[in-house]
Amino acid sequence: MNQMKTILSRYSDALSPNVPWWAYAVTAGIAIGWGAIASPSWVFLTTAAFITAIAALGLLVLVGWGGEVSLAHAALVGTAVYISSYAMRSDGYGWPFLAAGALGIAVALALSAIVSLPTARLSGIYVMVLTLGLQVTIERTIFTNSKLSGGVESRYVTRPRFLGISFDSNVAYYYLAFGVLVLTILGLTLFRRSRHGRALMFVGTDRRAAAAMGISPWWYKILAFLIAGAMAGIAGALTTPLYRSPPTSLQYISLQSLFLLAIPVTAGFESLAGVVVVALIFTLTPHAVASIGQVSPLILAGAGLTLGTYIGPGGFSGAVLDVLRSKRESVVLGRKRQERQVEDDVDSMPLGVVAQERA
Amino acid sequence: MVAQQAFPNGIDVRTAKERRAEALQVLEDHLPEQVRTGAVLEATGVSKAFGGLQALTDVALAVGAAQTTGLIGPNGAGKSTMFDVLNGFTIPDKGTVAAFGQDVTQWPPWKRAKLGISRTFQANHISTGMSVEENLLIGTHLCLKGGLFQTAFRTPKAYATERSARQAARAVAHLLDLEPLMTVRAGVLDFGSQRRIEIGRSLLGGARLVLLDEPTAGLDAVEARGLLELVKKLQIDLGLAVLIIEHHVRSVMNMCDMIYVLDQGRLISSGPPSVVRMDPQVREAYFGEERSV
Repeated sequence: MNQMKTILSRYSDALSPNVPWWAYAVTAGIAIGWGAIASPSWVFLTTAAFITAIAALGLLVLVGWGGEVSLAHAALVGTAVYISSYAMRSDGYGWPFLAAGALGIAVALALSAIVSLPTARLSGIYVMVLTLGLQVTIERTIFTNSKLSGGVESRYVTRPRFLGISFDSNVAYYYLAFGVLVLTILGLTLFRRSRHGRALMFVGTDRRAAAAMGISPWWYKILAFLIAGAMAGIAGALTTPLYRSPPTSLQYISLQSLFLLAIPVTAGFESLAGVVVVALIFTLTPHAVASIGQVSPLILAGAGLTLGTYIGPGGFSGAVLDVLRSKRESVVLGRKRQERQVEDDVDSMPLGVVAQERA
Repeated sequence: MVAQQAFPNGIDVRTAKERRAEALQVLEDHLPEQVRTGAVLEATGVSKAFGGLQALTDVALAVGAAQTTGLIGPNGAGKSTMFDVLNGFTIPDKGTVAAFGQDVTQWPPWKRAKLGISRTFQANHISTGMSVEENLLIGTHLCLKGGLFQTAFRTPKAYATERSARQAARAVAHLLDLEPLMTVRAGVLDFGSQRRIEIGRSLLGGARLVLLDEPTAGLDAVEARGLLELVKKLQIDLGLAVLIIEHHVRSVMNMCDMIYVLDQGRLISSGPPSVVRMDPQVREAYFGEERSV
């Protein structure tokens, strides 16, 4: 029991000091309950939103933490979709889901690694152009390969079954995607609080100062691209089984890269949960308001990009966090001011008075 | 046992002196062994031009072990360029830089940091969105062990080094009067506190030589004096080598063991404060006439 306590204490800072524990419990309760009570179409859409959130979390790491940018994220997701689905399909390799998914992730990771290498010498606009170049190249090569994408014919894949659990139903697949999302958030939170996470964040904030502290900006820029590539790969691997066949490549064109980029920009770079909330809003809103009128997710993304850029790196989640943080910080700062006041009062007293007061 | 003695009934009965001594001990344990004799850094014949502007011409300087060395000069004298050369941000056109017995002229800054060279900047270079503790912990990056997964998933070994780094960060925070502010974001603190965070971070990087680029820039006279006294005290207590660029000439004269004076990219004087103070070239560079510095 004590050993368990000791192990758990190592991970105590995975929970934010700004958010009460019950907020986590309520959120988890809602997410679990939603899978059980929502209609099949809403469960399906929410699963798609979770997968989008996983891809967007990769961009949060790259853009928000690493201070880089990528306009090829949709292409990486698409690549993982087609590679993993080909590996799963009976007319492809016929591999099980986990092995096929791993292959899709590995390819997305490798492409991300290749594009990250020249960023040692490039920055800003050049990295944007470079990643846009990768997006277009993938669109014109991998996406046009009918063997991989399935062409005009429908290619079916079955939903996975592992550890003795079948994820064939929408509800079961919803919980699988939710589980992967939770693990992704947990992993990123723990990484963020580790030495490498701090180093990456600092490289994104101040490259010169990071270099002076022994942190190689080049290596951490590559790491940011690798993490983003892995997240894109995971999202891609989860996508085909959701739709039971690989979606059309139109879902992964350059506009979609902007859509994905809009999610962390709107949410802000400080909160992982904020990214999930914005991914849910962007994915579910068009369907929620469908009876009133048509709202394209791209319109939401465009508005989000504009507003997010206007608000700044904190985004909407930063504004919420500021309210939560300022309460806690004002108590600490108030106490410190009081201490300083007492010290100043003592300093301004004649020595005799100080001695008397102390006595 | 120590904790029980220090906190009977949960009350900390240690005196300020005892707490300082404990913090110093933790920090000393964290830092590598300091070099006690000789020169820790030597630059010889350093020249650097940016296009048509000759920023440095044949500059030589040495920083002695366990000493405070000052680098002074009027605005535009080339002090910050010299710092960049020593630190690795700028590779000189001519000349060499040797640190701790190794030629580091072509080394990038992050490689030099591994030798124990750390620096601060003129403007605050901290992460305003991170807490004070996280900012300080960035300094411990090189001292921590463990790869990506070991540190993220906190294997016992990686977690042990992280815990000792946190103790060292707390010790530095105590010495720099930042301890109660550890959980507060650095961005909400006053300029002076942010300055101390940067100095603390540079100490935690396993520092054996600390380069301080105008640490009192932006502070009022009282804060500046307090900060320089604090730096000097830490330098003596920890046996560090410090190279400092500072505009408060009087303070530099008081705290430094050796001073180098640059003017228009050339070294015009060097020596102990008593010698530099009387150098007519120094007086002229500062005041344009022969007056006491």
